[in-house]
Amino acid sequence: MTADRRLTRLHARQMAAGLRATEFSARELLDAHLELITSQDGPLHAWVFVDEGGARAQADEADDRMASSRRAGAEALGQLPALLGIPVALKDLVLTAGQPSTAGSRILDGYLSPYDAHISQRLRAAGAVLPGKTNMDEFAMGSSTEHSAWGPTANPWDLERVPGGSSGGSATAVAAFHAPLAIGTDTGGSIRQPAALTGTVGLKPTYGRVSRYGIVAFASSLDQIGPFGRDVRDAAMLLGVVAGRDERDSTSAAIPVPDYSASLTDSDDQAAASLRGIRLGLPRQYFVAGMEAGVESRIREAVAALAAAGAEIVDVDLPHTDYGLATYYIIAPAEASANLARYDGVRYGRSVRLPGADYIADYLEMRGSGFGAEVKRRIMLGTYALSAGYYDAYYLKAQKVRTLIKADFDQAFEKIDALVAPTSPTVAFRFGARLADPVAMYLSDACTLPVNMAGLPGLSVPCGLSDGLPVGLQFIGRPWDELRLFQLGRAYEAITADADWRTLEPPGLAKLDDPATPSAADRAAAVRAAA
Amino acid sequence: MATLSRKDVEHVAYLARLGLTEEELARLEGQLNHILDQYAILAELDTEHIPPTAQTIEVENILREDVVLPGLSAEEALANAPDRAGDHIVVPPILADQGS
Repeated sequence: MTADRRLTRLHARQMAAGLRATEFSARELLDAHLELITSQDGPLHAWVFVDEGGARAQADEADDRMASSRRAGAEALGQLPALLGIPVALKDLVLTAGQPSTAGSRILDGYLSPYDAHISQRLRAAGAVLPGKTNMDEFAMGSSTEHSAWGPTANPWDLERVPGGSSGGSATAVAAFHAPLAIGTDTGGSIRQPAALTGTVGLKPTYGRVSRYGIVAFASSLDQIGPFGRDVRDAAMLLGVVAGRDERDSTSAAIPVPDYSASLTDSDDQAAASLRGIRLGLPRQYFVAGMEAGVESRIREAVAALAAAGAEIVDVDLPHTDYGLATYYIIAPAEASANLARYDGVRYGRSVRLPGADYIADYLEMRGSGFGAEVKRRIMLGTYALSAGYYDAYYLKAQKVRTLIKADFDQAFEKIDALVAPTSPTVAFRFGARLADPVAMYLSDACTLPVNMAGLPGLSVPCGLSDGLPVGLQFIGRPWDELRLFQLGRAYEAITADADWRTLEPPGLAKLDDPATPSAADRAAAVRAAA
Repeated sequence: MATLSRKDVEHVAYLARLGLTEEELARLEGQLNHILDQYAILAELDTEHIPPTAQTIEVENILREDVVLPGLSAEEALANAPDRAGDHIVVPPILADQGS
């Protein structure tokens, strides 16, 4: 058995080409990734469940399929699905038949899904190898992965800092080369913000682009599934596999899915040239109070580079941006409080039956002890916002402001092709820094959550470093315009292809083999103390 | 906007079926009021004539053919139930006499 770490450094599309050219097998590719996970995930804690045996069986099947197609000729080889033999990490809220999915919560400890999510079926049909599930803030509520019941995930760029969240495990898995691709979900920034903080590419598609059948729900009018990759073409390849209508999610739209990969050029010159004549809006309100100077500098430099390559930059106003945070933190908790009412300890999940007590006492005990602090806070907020006497003042008011936020974007898109903005106001922060003040944590998503409120697609791509930590550049598009976002991200990659920071590996990775590096358990204890 | 008293916090916790400790109730009272303070900004906006948005994409009347499709077997559906009797999930009594 060979386990060559160099294989893990390839992009997914290079892995696909290498497999077809018999440079290595799917089994060798998987073993290289499993070796990294086994030897380096202790301090990182990107994963909460790894099924080595199941993944090896999938890899062997991919090799068999590859071999029989090869015998059938070049045409059969060309028709093999895009992700055949490629490892894809799944956030721990994506159901896979017979495997655990806890959504980062004790309340789902021991739960084994009886069925596959729609996207799990799609990934299997595309030949992907699914090694396991990645860590996340409980029920996707959080921006740091510190709210996981299983302890936090570390950022590969600095092991003393968070990777962002809630899809922090997926972002770290990709940044640390444990998988070339990963699936996350984004309700207010949970793909884009961790992508920004870990120097990876992450897309939140248009609401309705990907079926959510078999995904643990957080806030149903906002949740969307999307890809992580180490570059734009890889992320686009993964979206192409999971996007599209599914009868089992009535909010998934019957809008044609373009062939993203075929529409993204490998030529840097061509990609850069595509910027000419593009009108990009720069929303002044996204340079929010509390934005770090280093982040603002990287964003303004990136915008200048896009302008130098021929894009027209237009200052735009999104005047209701400042109301986004309050609006989001009414609507999302309200929907969450309704969705999480299903955890009743009767049909599945954690159960408590106190001797002699009535069923209400059982509920109170099971839910009170089963949910973590942030989830309880949001259930409380949502229940209050929906309760008699407060519905109009909070929930209805927030839904009306949501209309205004969406209208801001509609107006802006009359004049521009896409928006360009920061993804996160800050770089990765230290463990515990925002745990004592929920509002400080919520501000992490000030530049991403308006996009969810309006149902739009948003892409985060790395745009350099501030104090040695990654900064994310966000492109926001019209509904269903993911392809344009990918083309913009690809063009930005092309015009910065020679930047020094592009060739850097996250420096924390070099410390993972050092026994003095704190373990995930040490970090979990420190985070518990700070909360 | 409103301020939550300790009694309000206890009431909302009961509505949400969350059994909270004294310490949690005390901490939540402070935190929830701090968060509600942030909501006050929304009062600046006149939204009297603005329609609410519940959903951002235009889909309506999503129907499918009324045909039987495969679903979970009873065994699969029951596999995660904490308590079962045959092909049934045992639920806590809601009408039983507490003394019996």
